[in-house]
Amino acid sequence: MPLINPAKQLYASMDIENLDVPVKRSDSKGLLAPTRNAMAKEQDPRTSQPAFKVGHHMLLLRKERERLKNV
Amino acid sequence: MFDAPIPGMSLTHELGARPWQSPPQYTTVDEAVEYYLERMSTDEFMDQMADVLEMNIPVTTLANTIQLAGVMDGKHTVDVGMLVMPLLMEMIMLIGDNAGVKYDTGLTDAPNNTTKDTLIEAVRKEMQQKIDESEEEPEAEEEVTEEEPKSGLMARR
Repeated sequence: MPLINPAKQLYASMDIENLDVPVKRSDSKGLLAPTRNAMAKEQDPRTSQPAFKVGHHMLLLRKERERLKNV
Repeated sequence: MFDAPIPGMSLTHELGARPWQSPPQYTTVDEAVEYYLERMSTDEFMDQMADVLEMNIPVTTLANTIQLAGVMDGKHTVDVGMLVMPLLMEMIMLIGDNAGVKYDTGLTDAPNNTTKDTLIEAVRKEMQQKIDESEEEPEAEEEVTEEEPKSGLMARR
């Protein structure tokens, strides 16, 4: 049985082009603005997923590669 | 094909004697990513990787080899290695782009109409052998001696 390299399938399945990274909302900085909402969820649950973290890293590296190509 | 392990080969050592049979050094993807990025960011590694990419070795093969070495060294599990592999590919491609090397990603299927160099070499050797044989044959024919003229009483003149 031949050895199979799963790298191609893994790379294709990451689909980082459609990875939507949650944008942090800029909180209002007024004196009466609530500093912290205890009931609100701290972060998007997707961001704690390992594949999401890897995808985020990949996106940064991809941007750097594109920057190098455009120079 | 002949590099495949023989049945029962995994049982020839005591259980736990191999690095991958004990708990891994990096248990999470974050730790593994940090380990690889730090290691791959060194000048020495980048120079070596650029050399390897110039040899036209696919990025997929390199990434798989690197993560497999990590598993065998007991750095992380196979699962973490699978998750990290796309990142390794992206990092290798970044190194290649940074060094200005034209590399093979391994993501596209190899075209079937290309002929391998080894096949061309085999055909060339075969043809050369045939040419050598055909050059040797005429020398053997020259050895045939001419018939001596008959000088008997009954010989035709």
